[in-house]
Amino acid sequence: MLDGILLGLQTVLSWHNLLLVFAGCATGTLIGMLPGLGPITAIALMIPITYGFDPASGMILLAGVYYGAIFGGSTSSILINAPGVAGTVATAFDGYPLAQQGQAGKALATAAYASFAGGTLAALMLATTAPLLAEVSLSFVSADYFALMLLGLCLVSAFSSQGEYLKALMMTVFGLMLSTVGTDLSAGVQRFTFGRMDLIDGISFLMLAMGTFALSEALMMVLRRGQSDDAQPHIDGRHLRLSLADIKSIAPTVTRSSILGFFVGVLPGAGATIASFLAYGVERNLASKTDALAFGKGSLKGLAAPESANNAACTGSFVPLLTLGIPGSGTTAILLGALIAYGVQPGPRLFIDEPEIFWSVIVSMYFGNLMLLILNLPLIPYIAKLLLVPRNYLIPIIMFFSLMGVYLVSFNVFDIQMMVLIAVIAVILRLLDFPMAPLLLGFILGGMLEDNLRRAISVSDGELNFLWERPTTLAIMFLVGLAILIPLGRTLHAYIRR
Amino acid sequence: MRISINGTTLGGLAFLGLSIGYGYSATHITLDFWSSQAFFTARTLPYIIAAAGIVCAGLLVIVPSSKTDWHALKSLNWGPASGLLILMGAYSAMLEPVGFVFATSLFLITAFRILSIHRWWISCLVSVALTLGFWGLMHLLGIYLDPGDIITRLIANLNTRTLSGVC
Repeated sequence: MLDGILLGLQTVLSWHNLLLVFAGCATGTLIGMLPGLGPITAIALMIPITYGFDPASGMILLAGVYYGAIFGGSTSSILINAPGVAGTVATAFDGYPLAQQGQAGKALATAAYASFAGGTLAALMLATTAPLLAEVSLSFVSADYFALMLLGLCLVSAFSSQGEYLKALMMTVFGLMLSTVGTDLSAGVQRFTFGRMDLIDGISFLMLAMGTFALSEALMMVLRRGQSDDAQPHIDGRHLRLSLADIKSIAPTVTRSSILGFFVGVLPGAGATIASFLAYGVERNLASKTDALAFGKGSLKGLAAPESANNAACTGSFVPLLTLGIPGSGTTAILLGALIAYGVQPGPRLFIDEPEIFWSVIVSMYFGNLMLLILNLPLIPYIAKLLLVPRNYLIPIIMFFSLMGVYLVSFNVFDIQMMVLIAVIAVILRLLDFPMAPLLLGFILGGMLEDNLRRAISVSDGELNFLWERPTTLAIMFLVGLAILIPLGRTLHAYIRR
Repeated sequence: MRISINGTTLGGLAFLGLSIGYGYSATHITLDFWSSQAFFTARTLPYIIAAAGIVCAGLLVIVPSSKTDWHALKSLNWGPASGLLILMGAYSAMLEPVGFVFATSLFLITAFRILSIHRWWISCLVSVALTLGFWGLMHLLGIYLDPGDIITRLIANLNTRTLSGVC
């Protein structure tokens, strides 16, 4: 492990990569701060830029963007009560009241220190657990991978918001459908191209990500213009520090929430949102009666808990991505797509074949957190001025960058038209409360799912016994069954009771 | 009696149609003789996906979730959003014939106008500056974006004048 960390340090500590970590964090903060634009949009917008980099540098930049976007989301939550991402909604519960009490600087500092601590503890846990899990997963065969991918897809739906399980499941299936468009490489036949040359290579993941997130988000902003809270931020950059008493009071909260956040993040589908709410709830239950009363009214513990948990969960979500090649969330699905686009095969072999990518991502996470604390925090009062720029100016610019992001990869205007169509469909589906992340996950896992299923079926001579022959596969399939049946049972039970 | 249509039901019906259409299209995937004898063909996964889609969509239709607030949907700003969609379509059609600089400047100016920015000079300034800045950056990075006839001729004229000045 030490060799790996040294290799990662060697890669990250080049001036070029350090600059990329900083650029990623700063850009992520800027984009994540804009209400409605989260890490998925931020990463999608940045992917075209990374195509010219080597895979390790590309991943370092994108990991920085991820952290920056979460941090930016916290900033807008605290300053204007408008969370940039779902993972920072819980941050607004106590962050915004603190800002209203004239303690915005203290709230921002608490968020930054808690995020740093959460990210650091989680990076340590990632460095310890990821290689172990990668080694274990080397014994996996196609059937296990197929079962694991199925589990990832089902869990994403199972963890969707209450009552939306079927919608999430439908979106996963829709994503799988889109993944089959294009040429089937193993048989060399075209599927669902309807004779169009432009579809022979399939739908590009970047186009889908941009269409469903960046462009549709911009259109949603236009549709909801005037309905959102366009409050002016209270920017107070004078008191960006915490007293020793404050640090002592939040330290146990941060430790507990970081550990909790990391393990929640490791679960496919759970992610930063569930981690932050869970940590907030746990801390409120553990707090003394006096402290518990302060929750929701500007409690530092109430702010530190979701902040450390969401950052730790972000790191935790890299465990299945780096060790199994299975993304646990929409954001890591985009990162997986980026890895594939760089020509890197994610999975347990990544740890052996491309150790510099594996370790540099882990090490860059720590440096990303450090950058956010040392460089981003003092800049926050200035970066937050972006919130003063009228949305009407930002929307066309976001649209332009989304369109160009896709056009510059293929230089084909069909891709722009296709992306606009995808954005229209995405907007309609979002208005009907269909979630987008499962679609992306289904799309990205579709190809790998088919490859592993094909291999498993071929090995078992066309029989389906590969699903229960190995104890590992059987155990995972048992979890798949639970992930489908429990939420489905709940949904049907709720319907019958109505 | 007033019939209330649920958005989930509508979505479910649309997905049901899509899944059936997808499954039907899957039957038209061409397979050669050797492929058709294999256990797993190019049609296998699409069939499984179509079946899963039909089951999920069917459940969505049968088990509708929370009611859709149609009034809230009606009150959204459909006009500007539709205008921007048409504009993006027009931009994609204009980009290659007209060139990047003119098409992008026009796209941004019109988009600002659709979003009710009435100060023309600010819209023009931001649009042209952003377009030229982006084009310049791409040029520096070695990525060729056809600037369009007007800009190309302008650059050619400038080059000719500079050369004649040197001579």
